[in-house]
Amino acid sequence: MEFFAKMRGAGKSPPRVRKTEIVSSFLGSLAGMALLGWLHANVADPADQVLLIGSFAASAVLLFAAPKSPLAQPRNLLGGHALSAVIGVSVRLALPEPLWLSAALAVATAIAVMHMTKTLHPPGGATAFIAVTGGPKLTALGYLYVVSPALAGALILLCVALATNALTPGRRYPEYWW
Amino acid sequence: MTDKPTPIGVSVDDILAAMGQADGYLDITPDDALALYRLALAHAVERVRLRLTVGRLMTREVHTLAPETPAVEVARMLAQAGVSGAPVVEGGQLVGVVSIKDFLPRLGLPRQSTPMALVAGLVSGELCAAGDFPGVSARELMTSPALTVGPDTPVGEAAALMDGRGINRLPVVEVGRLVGIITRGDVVRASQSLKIAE
Repeated sequence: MEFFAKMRGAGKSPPRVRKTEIVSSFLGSLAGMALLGWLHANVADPADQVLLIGSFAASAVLLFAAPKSPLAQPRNLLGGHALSAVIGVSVRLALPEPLWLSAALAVATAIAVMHMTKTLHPPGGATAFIAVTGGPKLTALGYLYVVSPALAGALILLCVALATNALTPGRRYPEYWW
Repeated sequence: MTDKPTPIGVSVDDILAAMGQADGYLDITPDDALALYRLALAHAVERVRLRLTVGRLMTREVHTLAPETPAVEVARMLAQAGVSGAPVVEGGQLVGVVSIKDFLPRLGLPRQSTPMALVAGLVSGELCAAGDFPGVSARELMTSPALTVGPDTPVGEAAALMDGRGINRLPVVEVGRLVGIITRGDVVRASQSLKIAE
C-alpha cells in the first residue's frame, strides 16, 4: 500500500503571491520575451539565424516569476542552456534515428548533467529536446546552436531580468551568480 | 522528512503565514520548508548544547571552607553566604563538600530529609536544637570524596548528575584544584537563555 500512499499528496499548497508580484512578473516577462522576439525578427532572422526557441519562454517563467528560485539563478540559466545545447547536438549527431529515442536520451542526459554541475534549469531540457527535434534550420547550425540561440538568448534574458528585477521594488536578482 | 516534535511548535500553518509575508514566489513547499526549519533548529540546539560547558556557566568566586572550621562556624558561614552547601578546600585542593545533608543525621534526621522536616522537628520540640556538634569540624562533617565535574563537562551532563544524585551543587575541578562551582540555579538560568536562543 506504500506505493499508493505515496500518491496521496497530504501536504498543503503554498499561498498565492500578491497582486504586485503578478504585475511585476507580467511586465518583466513581457519585456524579456519582446526584446528576444524583436531581436529575432530584426537581427537574427534576416541573417538566416534563430534566436527565439521555445525553451526561453520557460526560462522567462523562472526569471520573472520566481527570481528567488535556485533554478532561476545565472549559473543555472547560462549553464543549463549551454550544457543542454551541447548534449542535445551531440546526441543528435551520435544517434539521429529513431527520433523518439534520441529526443528522450537528449533530455534525460541534459537533466543528469545539469544535476551533476549544479546548473539544473528546467528549460534546459527543452533546449536539449529542440536541438534534436527543431528541424533543418536548427540542425544545420551544428554546435553553433550552443552559442546561438542557446547562450545568446539566455544572455539577453539575463540582462532583461537583471534590469527589470532591479527596477522592481521588493525584488532583487540574482540571489547569487555562481 | 521528519515528524519529530520540536520544543517550539512551528506548524505548517505558521510556515504558510510566513510564506505569505515573504515577497515573491518561494520555490519550496510548506512541508519542505517546515522540515528544513526543524532540521536547522535541531542543528542550532545541538550546536548550543555542545558549546555550553560547565566552565562557561559556573560561579568562579566560591565560598569555601577550611577543614578545621568548627561545625557551628560552618553553619553560620553558609547561612551568611546564603548557600546550602560549600566545598571544603585544603591547600587549594578539594577535599569534600559540606551541605545541609551532612548536618541532618547529627540532628536526628535521615540524610535525605527536606529543610521542612528540620523545621517540623524544631517547632514540635522533637529535635534537640543544639545537636551533636561539640568538637566536630568541617572535616568530620563533609561528604568525601565529593562528586565533581570539569570545566569542559557539558552542562546537560552536570544537570543529569545533580538530578540523579539528588544534589544541588557540583564543585568544578581542574587537575585537582577547585576552579568554580555549578548549582541547580545556574542550570535553570542557562535553560532560560537556551529558550531565547531557540
